[in-house]
Amino acid sequence: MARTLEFRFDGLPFRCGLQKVDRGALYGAVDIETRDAAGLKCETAVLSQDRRTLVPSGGTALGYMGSDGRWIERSELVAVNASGARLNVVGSSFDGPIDLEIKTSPDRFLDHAIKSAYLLDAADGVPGALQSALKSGTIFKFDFSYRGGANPDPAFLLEGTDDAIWLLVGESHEPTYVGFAQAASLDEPEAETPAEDDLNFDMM
Amino acid sequence: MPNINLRDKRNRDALVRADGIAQTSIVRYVDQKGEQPKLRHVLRATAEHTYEKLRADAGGDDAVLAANLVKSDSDTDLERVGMFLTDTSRVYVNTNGEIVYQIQQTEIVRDAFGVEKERRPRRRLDPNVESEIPITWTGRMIKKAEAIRRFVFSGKLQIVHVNGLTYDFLYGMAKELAEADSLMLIGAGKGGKEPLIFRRGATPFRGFLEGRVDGDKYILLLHLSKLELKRPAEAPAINAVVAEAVQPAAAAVAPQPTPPAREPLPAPVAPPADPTPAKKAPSVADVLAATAHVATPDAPVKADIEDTVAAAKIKKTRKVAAKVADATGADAMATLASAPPQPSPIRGEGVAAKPRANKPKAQPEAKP
Repeated sequence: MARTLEFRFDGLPFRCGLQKVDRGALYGAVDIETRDAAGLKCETAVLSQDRRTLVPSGGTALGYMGSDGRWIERSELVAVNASGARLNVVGSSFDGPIDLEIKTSPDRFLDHAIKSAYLLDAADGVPGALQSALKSGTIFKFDFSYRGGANPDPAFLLEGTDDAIWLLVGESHEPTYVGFAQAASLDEPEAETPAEDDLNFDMM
Repeated sequence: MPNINLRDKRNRDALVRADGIAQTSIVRYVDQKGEQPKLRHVLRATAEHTYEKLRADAGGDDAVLAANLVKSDSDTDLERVGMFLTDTSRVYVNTNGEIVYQIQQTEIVRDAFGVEKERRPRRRLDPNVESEIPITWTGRMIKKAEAIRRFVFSGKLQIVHVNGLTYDFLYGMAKELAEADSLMLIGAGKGGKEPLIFRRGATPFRGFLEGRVDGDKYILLLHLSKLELKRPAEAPAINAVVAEAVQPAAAAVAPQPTPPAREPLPAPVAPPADPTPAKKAPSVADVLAATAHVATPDAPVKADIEDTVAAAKIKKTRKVAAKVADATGADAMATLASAPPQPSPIRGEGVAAKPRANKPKAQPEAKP
């Protein structure tokens, strides 16, 4: 059964099923099929540094190694911030109700890039006051973590133009005002100095 | 970060810069001593020790393969497994396990339901944000409040000036857009109709400019979108979809030669002895009955065919049936077999369960 999220607005709880919507669901997709000159199907593999070991898909693993060369389990790791202070770990957003208390402005919303879009389906309906607020363009903001962890993502609840309710999970961006004195420089490709052998006098 | 050749509504253009503004992650993971561990890639298995290769070496006989494993641990390369992978290369390998140096790539275009529409040679679109033809204001303004409800903005770039002249140029743009409280749709190519492509072969995006002004300072944000905020299209009537999904599945589970040393497959139900054209789909109930042994947990052949496309499609078919049954309280098979082509009760208003044959991987052209 699909997972559901529980929200709470003005003390009234309601549940929503969620359906992830991506480009494939809206417009279709393009798969790439690769064949060799003989028409045999090909797939990617990894060639190791010894240039003779071929590693098939799924043939590599990742592991954390301490400074003493000892393997470290992921469960032994602790999340800290930039200054080294421990961070609180939050549970999955599916584990408890999400309070819709914070409203945000269109400008603040536009400071976020949206990573995932979920179409919400409130089978039992949403509170009337919330419906009115969403219809008038109110955007609610909250923290969202699919699996739980130390770094929840900013998420938004809003209504689309077709009356559907959307959960948008994003990441924060920080645009800053720039003034006249803060001119950047163009990204210049490095000019190549022609080697002596490249100087072709035949063309003259 | 890319340079952008940008033109304003007065047809003046200038080369400016687009900066990334994503916040870098402030979360680090440390061990109990407070030290940050290194993430290492290690070798887990080589191509010479896959199940397929070992089975082929054993003449396709699982019993021989099992004996080989017991005798020589041939499934593991003890010399190499566990080694750190550092300077690796990505290569193409054909079905014979040989590295391939010349490839031909084909794009398989599928619609939103996974149905193949077209095959064509792979094309890689060239970048167009720094070309001779500037990125142009299309003149199409959309109020911020409306744009937020219509598009998913998955990327941001901040446009910044590179000298005094471009400061005036960009400040003027930002001021005009801020006063309009709107986003301006911008595009590449003549007339600004094409989406923006930042690198060769990269996903095209639609671009929307937003301006903010504070005194003599400004923010000019380029919002990038490749997705509209709208409900996915509804699936076709369930009967047609199920028939389409199970047709290849039925073909895949039709009687096939069985390896000699294996227990024979349970006798499959033959396709209906109907002289009608081959394209006619078997009834859903027939196919589900014929393939019942595939989805039965205790079936001896399950492991062999579970990974095949056929099995996946059968699972999908059964899932659709189960959903319908859940919604209606009816028996899944009976529901599928008898369902007339009418709106599905799953989501109301004629929405049928979403039957995508394949999970799409690559991105098609932008079409927001």
